Amino acid sequence: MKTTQKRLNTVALLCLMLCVSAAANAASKFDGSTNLLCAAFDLTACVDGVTCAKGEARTFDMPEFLTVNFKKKSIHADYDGDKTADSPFKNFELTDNQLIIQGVENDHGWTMAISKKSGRMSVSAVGEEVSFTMFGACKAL
Amino acid sequence: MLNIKLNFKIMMLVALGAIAFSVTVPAQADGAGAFLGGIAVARIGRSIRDSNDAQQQQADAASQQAYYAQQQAEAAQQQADAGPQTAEQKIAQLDKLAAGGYISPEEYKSRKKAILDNM
Repeated sequence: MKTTQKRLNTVALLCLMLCVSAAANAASKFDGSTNLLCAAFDLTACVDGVTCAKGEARTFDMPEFLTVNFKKKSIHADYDGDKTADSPFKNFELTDNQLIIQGVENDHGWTMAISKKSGRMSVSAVGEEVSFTMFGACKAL
Repeated sequence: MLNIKLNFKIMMLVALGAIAFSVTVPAQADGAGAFLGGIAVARIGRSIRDSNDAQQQQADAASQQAYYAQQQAEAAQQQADAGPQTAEQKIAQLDKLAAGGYISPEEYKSRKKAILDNM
């Protein structure tokens, strides 16, 4: 009887350890420790300050997937089969709920915010002629 | 002799380095460049401008069609006011519409034929 109780306690402890480990792992997914694969869903954009449009990212001929490489400090996209594009960033910041990445490129400033909890992503880029906000979701690679 | 061996080793090292570099560094395509401030803004801007141009063309076409309809209505009213037109008057009016680009050459031909057939 005592042996069975001991075994049950051991199994319970093991389960608890696994759960804690899984939770810790899940919590650390979107904190810059792991590279991310993100999918772009919807996009809203304005051109010349007057003409605006919204729709799925693909209707704007945008790459639908992008990767965030924290080691290289770069956001990378493959498009048109064989072409690549990168947006480098200097640093990223963790707030209470978000992972914030910012960069400057070709007279445009951009910010990517990823929910630490859910991985939901929003990216905005602003410039003189074109500004856009794109929404999507990320998963750890 | 020692010098030749050393040079050969250096050459081998350079060749191995070149091979390793070509294997580890992926070849970037011609279009490689900036993403969020580059191709993203370029494609979005082009997409919206193209869509805007298409809408403008549609609006222009609709406006031209409305103008043509109005011209036709006015012509019909004038005809009603002035009584029945002769075939010559009808063809002269048709000529004016064709010259103004309000009707296509095919439409001009078919209407002219209809006028002449009714003589």
